[in-house]
Amino acid sequence: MEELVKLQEVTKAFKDFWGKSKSLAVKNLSLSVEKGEIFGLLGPNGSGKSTTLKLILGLLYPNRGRIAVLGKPPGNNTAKQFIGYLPEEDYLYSYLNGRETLDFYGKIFNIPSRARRERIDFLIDLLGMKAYQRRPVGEYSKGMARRIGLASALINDPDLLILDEPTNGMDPIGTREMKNLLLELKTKGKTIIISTHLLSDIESICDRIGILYQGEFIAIDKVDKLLLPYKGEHHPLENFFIDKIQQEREKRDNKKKLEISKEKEETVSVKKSDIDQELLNKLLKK
Amino acid sequence: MNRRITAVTLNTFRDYFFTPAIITLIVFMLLIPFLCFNMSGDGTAEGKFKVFVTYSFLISSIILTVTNISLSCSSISGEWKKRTLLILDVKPIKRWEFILGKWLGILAINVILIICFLLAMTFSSILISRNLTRNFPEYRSIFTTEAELFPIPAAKSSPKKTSDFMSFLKMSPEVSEGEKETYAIPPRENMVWNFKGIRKSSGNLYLSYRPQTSGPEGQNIAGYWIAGNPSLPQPFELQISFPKDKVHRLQLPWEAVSVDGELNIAYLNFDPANMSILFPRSDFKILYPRGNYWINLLRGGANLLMLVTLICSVGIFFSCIVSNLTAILSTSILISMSYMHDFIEIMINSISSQIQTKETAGIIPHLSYPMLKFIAFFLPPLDKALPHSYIGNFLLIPSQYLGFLFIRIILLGALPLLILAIIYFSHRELGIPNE
Ligand SMILES: Nc1ncnc2c1ncn2[C@@H]1O[C@H](COP(=O)(O)OP(=O)(O)O)[C@@H](O)[C@H]1O
Ligand SMILES: [Mg+2]
Repeated sequence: MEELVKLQEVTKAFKDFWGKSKSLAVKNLSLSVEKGEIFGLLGPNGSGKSTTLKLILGLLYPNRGRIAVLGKPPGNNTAKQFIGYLPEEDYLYSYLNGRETLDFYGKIFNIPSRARRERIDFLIDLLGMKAYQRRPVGEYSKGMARRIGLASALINDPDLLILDEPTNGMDPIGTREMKNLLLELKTKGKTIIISTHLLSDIESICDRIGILYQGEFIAIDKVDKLLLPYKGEHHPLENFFIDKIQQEREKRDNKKKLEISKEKEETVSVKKSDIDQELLNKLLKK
Repeated sequence: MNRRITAVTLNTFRDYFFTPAIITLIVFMLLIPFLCFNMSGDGTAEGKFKVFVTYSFLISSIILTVTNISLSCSSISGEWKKRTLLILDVKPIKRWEFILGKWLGILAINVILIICFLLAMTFSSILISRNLTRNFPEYRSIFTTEAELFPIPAAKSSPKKTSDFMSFLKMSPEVSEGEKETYAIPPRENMVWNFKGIRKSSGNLYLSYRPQTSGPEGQNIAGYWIAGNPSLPQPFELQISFPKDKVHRLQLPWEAVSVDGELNIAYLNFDPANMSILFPRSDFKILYPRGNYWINLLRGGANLLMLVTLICSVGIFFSCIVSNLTAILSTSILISMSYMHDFIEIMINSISSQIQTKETAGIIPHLSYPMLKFIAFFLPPLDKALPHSYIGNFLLIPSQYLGFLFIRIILLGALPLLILAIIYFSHRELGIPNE
């Protein structure tokens, strides 16, 4: 299988003007997404999902680690030709109407005018935007804006689609339509990376999911494999997600406690890295 | 043309062109020349012209430059603020294409503003030349083209009764008299002049002369003119009095001129003081406007003004290009250094009139000041570009303007390349939100 996106031990810290570290958004993250796959990036708010996507797109630079997108470094102009991106917020030119917005991005992809018109008609039809295609996007509601954002991400018929919380602000009908659309794109062999904290978004459509917590993967695997112990439950993904996050939280709290106690009792001369986490957890649980 | 560049250009144009600010500016550009036209200066024709040219160019170029800088800066920082730059950056558009597109978009707005200014300038030029010809007769020859015809004197004879006038008009020219410096007419005598080649036009026909006598100062001369041609049954008689030693214009009826453009003029010296009258030859001529009055206005003075306007506008246009480029490029560097985005805000806030008070930390305000100074250095030194000059050396204005421009362009020649290099090799992260 061809790897479209590959992250190797990527770390991203945000620094202030003076170079002082503000926050560590992504820690030692490794990830690879294969062609034709829908990958779900899950995680609570502020866990580093958007940061990871921006790193893949070359909008942010990693402090450490290596990233390859379509076999090229992020931000490469040839690779950009095959990428579609929907950011978490809608950033639109308020004075253009829906059609003009799509036309503008079509021109940026250097699509000839006739092909562009056909593509725009197709997308407007696909996303059900016919009724408001001639209204300025500044007047759009959140769901409409989300749709125009998605349409402009699809204007170049991308091979790799990166969606940051695509159903953010969409009604249930829109969410359902979005899911169907993504499945349809999958059948066409497109690769999709989708980030969300709404589990209902990606239940049943993702091939693989990764759960991010404070910039690290605490679980990453095929969906059926991860949910095996939860088979037969009402909301398997939700239960799995919440369990996993809680476990991680406890683990980290304990680690902190241990570090504090370590400081108190100086007799214990173990280095942090020497501690076997798994063993420690088992002991603590008992 | 590159589709990506045109897309960005059009988008920038649309972003700004339909905003109230630009519409106001267009109205301003249309109004400036007319406002300046109404200023009378020190009351002389020179003063009026000086004030008109200086003020209209000064005001319009100040407005254009300031607009240009704030537009250019905000054309990029606006996309940064709206975060649309973030979407654009993941699309396959090269940075130079984006910058060029932005620059062309602002340029297109400038072109429209300048065209408006030129239109208004042309109209007010026509008005001003009309005004000058009306109020200052000495500038008539500058602002209208007139045909000047010098006479061929016909003959001398003793004055007879009015019924004999026809015989004067039938006299044939006497070429030898034509070489005289002055035509002298003793009392009770007359002189006849013959003009050939007069072409009919819509304007008035004048006989222009400067009479001289030995009589006392301030006393008018009583004169008797006869005009006509051999084909006329009856000549035109004009009895008038005129001051001595001043150019005087006598309006003649066009009917006095024959179909082949021939005109005979006779002067009868009936002066009561019995004094000879002298007409210096150089001041004795037939004047009439060639062609249509309005076309003459255009051709004469307005042409002159339009030339100045055009050259100066090219100057302003170039300076717009330059300041525009500087502003856009310097903004681009600032953006490329993403940590410095507060910096741009300060710059734009101080340049554009939108005053948004925002607290900024420590060193940054101090850094922005030299930057503003730096940009200001490349603005056209307008007070020097438009010196106080008058009609005589009007060409000095555009040439000086272009001179300053030339220096600036040379100074800036290397700068864009340097800046582009910085942009290409700089470390920038667009994904960082500006809180
Ligand atoms: N420009 C920034 N400066 C400082 N910290 C940031 C910046 N952008 C994001 N962060 C931090 O990085 C972490 C991850 O953010 P983000 O990737 O946006 O999370 P989410 O998973 O909700 O998309 C958060 O703790 C956030 O505070
Ligand atoms: Mg996010």
